[in-house]
Amino acid sequence: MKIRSGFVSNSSSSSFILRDESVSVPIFRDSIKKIWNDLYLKGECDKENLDQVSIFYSISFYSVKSFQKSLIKGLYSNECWSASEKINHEYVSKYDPFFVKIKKFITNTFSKTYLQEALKADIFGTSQENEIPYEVLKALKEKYGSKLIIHHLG
Amino acid sequence: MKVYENADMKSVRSEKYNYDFNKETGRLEAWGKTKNDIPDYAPSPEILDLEISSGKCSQACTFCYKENGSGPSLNMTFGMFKNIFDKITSKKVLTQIAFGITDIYSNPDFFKMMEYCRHNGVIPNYTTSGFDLDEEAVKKTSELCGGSICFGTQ
Repeated sequence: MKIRSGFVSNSSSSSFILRDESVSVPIFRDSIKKIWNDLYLKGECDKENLDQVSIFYSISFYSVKSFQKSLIKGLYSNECWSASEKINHEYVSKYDPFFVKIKKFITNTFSKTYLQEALKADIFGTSQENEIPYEVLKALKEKYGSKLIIHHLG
Repeated sequence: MKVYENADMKSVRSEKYNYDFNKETGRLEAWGKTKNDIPDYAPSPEILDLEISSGKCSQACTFCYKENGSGPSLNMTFGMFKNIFDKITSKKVLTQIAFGITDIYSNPDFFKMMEYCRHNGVIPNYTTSGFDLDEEAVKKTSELCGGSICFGTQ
């Protein structure tokens, strides 16, 4: 059975890139389950879908090194609408002062794309709408810091 | 395929694809031949992300994945929306729509579109900065939308 636990929003599916050689897919999956369970016991998120993390395909984690890059590119075309999106892309407003516009232009020009980062990652994962609660995503980011990039999809 | 529906629930039954959708909570349970199966695919979409406005948005949030903020305000007409909606719901599988908007009143037909969804048994919701939510918009939202509004702001 597939379960979607609530209403979707316009950016409620997520993708992950973890760059940490010491973390394997099972360890990463277990750390999500532990964070999720701890938050659930504290009453800070629902338990819905927790057991699916290691069972269902819809929350998927891949070891990039053992996974063919062409398949990752395929996953992007299927699931990650913004594969060509620049990481650290900064929105340039017409109200920005000129020097800020220049700074943002340089950042946007030289920032790497999400796909480039994924191909160099150790673990890559995707989840569909509302499958991993926001609280869990936040705690994951706190645990792994800059090694983990969480990208909200459409 | 048979579709059963009342004010609270929508259910689909067929040999290889089945679901129960709770209109109040957004919870969806989908299965295949048996409840242990995950259906490979749905006969038509269960959910729809639909951008009905883009371009000018008063908040211009830097993280907006649609990069809305500046430029002309582009709005989908009700006629185009109805055409898309009627085609996608022809098999009665669609459960909910996540509307992508800019400001609440950018698209003059926004609430008319959500009324059309509700009238046809599909639950709408939307993502907003919330800065231009007035009493009337809150009232209509509470009448028409699913369990929550997704606020995206900085």
